[in-house]
Amino acid sequence: MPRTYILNYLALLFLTALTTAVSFLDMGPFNTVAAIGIAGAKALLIAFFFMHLVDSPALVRVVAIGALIWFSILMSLTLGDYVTRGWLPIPGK
Amino acid sequence: MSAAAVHSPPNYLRAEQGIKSWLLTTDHKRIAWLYIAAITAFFFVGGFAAMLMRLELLTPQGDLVASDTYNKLFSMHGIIMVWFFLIPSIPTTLGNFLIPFMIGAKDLAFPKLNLASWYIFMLGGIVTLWAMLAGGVDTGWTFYTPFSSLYSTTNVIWAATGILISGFSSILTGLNFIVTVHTMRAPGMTWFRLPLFVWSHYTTSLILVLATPVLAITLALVAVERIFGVGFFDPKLGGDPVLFQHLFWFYSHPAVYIMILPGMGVVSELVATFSRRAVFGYTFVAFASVAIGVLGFLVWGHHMFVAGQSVYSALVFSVLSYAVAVPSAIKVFNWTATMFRGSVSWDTPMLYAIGFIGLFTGGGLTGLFLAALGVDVHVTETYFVVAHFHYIMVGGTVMAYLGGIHYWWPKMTGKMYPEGLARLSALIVFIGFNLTFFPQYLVGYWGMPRRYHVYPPEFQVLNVMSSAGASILGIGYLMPLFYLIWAAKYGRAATANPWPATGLEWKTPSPPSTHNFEETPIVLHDAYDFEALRPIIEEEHSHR
Amino acid sequence: MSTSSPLALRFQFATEEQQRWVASVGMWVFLATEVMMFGGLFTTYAVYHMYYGHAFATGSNMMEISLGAINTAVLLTSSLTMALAVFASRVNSKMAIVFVIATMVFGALFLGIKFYEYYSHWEEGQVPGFNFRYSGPEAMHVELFFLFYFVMTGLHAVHMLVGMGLLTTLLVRLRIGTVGPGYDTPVDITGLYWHFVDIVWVFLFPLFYLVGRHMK
Repeated sequence: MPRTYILNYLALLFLTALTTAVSFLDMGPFNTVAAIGIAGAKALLIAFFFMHLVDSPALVRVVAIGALIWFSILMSLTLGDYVTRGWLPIPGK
Repeated sequence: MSAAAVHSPPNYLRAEQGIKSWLLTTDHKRIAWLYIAAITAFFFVGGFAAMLMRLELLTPQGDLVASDTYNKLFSMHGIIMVWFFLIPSIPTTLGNFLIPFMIGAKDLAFPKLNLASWYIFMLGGIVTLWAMLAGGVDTGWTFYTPFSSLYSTTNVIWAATGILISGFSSILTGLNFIVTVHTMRAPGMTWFRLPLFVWSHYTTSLILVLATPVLAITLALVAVERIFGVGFFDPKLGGDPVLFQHLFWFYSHPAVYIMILPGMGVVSELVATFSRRAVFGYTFVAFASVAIGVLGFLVWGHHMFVAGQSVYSALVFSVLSYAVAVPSAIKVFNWTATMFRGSVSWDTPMLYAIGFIGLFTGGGLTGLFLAALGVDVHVTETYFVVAHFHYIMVGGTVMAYLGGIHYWWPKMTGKMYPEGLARLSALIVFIGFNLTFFPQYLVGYWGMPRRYHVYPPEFQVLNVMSSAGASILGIGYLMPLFYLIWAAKYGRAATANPWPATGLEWKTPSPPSTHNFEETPIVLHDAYDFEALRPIIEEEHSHR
Repeated sequence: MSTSSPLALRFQFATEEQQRWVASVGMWVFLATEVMMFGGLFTTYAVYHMYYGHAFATGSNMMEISLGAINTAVLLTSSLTMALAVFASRVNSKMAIVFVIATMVFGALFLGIKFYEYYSHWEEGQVPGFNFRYSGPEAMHVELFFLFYFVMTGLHAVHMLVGMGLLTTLLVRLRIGTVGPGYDTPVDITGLYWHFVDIVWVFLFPLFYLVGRHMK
């Protein structure tokens, strides 16, 4: 419904302003968490309301979740290598 | 004999004539033939490269070709065989032809996209062949950085572009299959009434769709690095060449499951039909397919045990690699159990299926050797690995492909192939295969590196055996090429259900009409309902 | 009705509802492939951000944050108009055309700002492989950051151009009447594609414009 879209849009604009403003505060590692978190929230709003995931049949939601899971497999197992390098006191391992 | 020929519509082969009706077709059955022609041609191109390699390896010295040329030969062999034969093989030919039948549909969800897939595939193939002919590429099919991105002086970008283009073809085919199986099953065709061939292809399609895009972007990044002189894998900018390997193998390991799962699907069908029994443990086999597909995404680091990834990462990948063997083993047990107390006949497709089961199992077990970190350090980058993957891809996939082509040949062409000659070919293939690849396990274990055309003289005897085996294997592959084409024209006419087998495709005439079914079938039984076939079996027996 | 008319039921489908559903599922599966393709780039970015966070912050502070933020708002607005276009196409072709044109206007604005930014980077000598001349500390890692910037926003821009092409096709079909109330599927699936491209930008914005702002 147009009303939902406009409200969604305003929420997205608000989150954009929020993430921009927050980026100027020094929160250490939480800056990254906040930035990705807010981006994730925006993505969910776009997906649920503009892309109608909220009232789509299950199959479409499974496809969307599947894509996210597979992306996270790529990300986590790759980063897993880099994060654990140097944990053993053996050069090159 | 098909008595209804007078009143039924013309079959799909006769419905329209002329080259335009083939090149502009959206009929999934004709598109399957377009692919059969293409992948057969690519198979012989890749095989030609293999022939030159095996000729070179007859002697320990590098005396047939220069080292650089040898590098180009094994690269060409790998690239063509992986991307232009194995990955498309069963899905685009048998999959395209059969999936709509098996689910009770009149075509795939997106017939025009199906044709586009073929054209995209051909474009990728032409670009890649051009790269090969205009100087070749010498990075191996694996394109490892920094050699591929910074130092190789060969046609890396062209080859990468050709592969990237063919990747889009894969993605679109996978997309088509996924959507079709989800949305176009006939009434009563629930997921657990689907033939296992469909389960295998569905899982394969999931892998195609989720893994191939990563290959596309990875090859594109290598091209960017070559073109602009700066890149993500370049240590000069702080890049890590091993990161390329993570991205490359994230696709390329699931890719090997793209290559084997459809073959497993074929074998399920063949074993059921030629044991006259439903596949033992249908549900387990179906879930095992999905498990292979999912777990297959979690093991890619086993290609990188000596590349420089962290030990903890290697440990995780090693454990997961053992896990992925389990569903494959489940399938092998279930096929075997299907044959036990079944009424087994030894027709050619069954010979290929049994060959698959034995050779795949052997190759799979050596995969477990490789999954063990300690053993892998010893045998990685040797001919042991080469033998392992050829047992699976040639002993597995190619056998399954040949078995499937023979099995469905009567349906697709309306003609029977010559059984005696076909059994002989299957035997020649089996003997040639083992003679080619078993010695490679031995030389590899004893230290002969892969991708080398020079080797210590003590390995010569085994190399000569391997090359001799390759010639026999080549004969075994050429024979079906000739007699199948001969049979398509001059073979004995086939009935609708010559084996006989279960499955909706066998309820249609041989060859079928353009729209597959006159009326949408309503499915009331499970997949391998041989009881219902009893009267037909009896009738076939009285004719034979 | 001729069988080539898109309003007709294709032979492989049983009902028009099935036909519509199939198109939607197809587009979602396609978007899953796009997630994986961009995912490879995001993963690569994540690895290097882990190692070179400071240099990435330096690079990010060389971006014009106001342009990035404005572009984000522009693209979000285009998503709104696209959603309205999809809604309108079910009932009123003329309104649908208005909203599609609006979407294209905002899309073009986004691309215009983007190319202006690329041009400024060129002027400043910030284009890797061409004229990168930053020579501060960790210059090579800053160059890596800019390489990411151009490749990732460039790939995004290519997707935007494809989207503009799709919208143009929609405009023509809405105008001649082969798409509209009764057959709004193409608008629907173009919308899905457009929103996805917006989602990609939603992640690109903080990763390139907001890293290390607090360190300035």
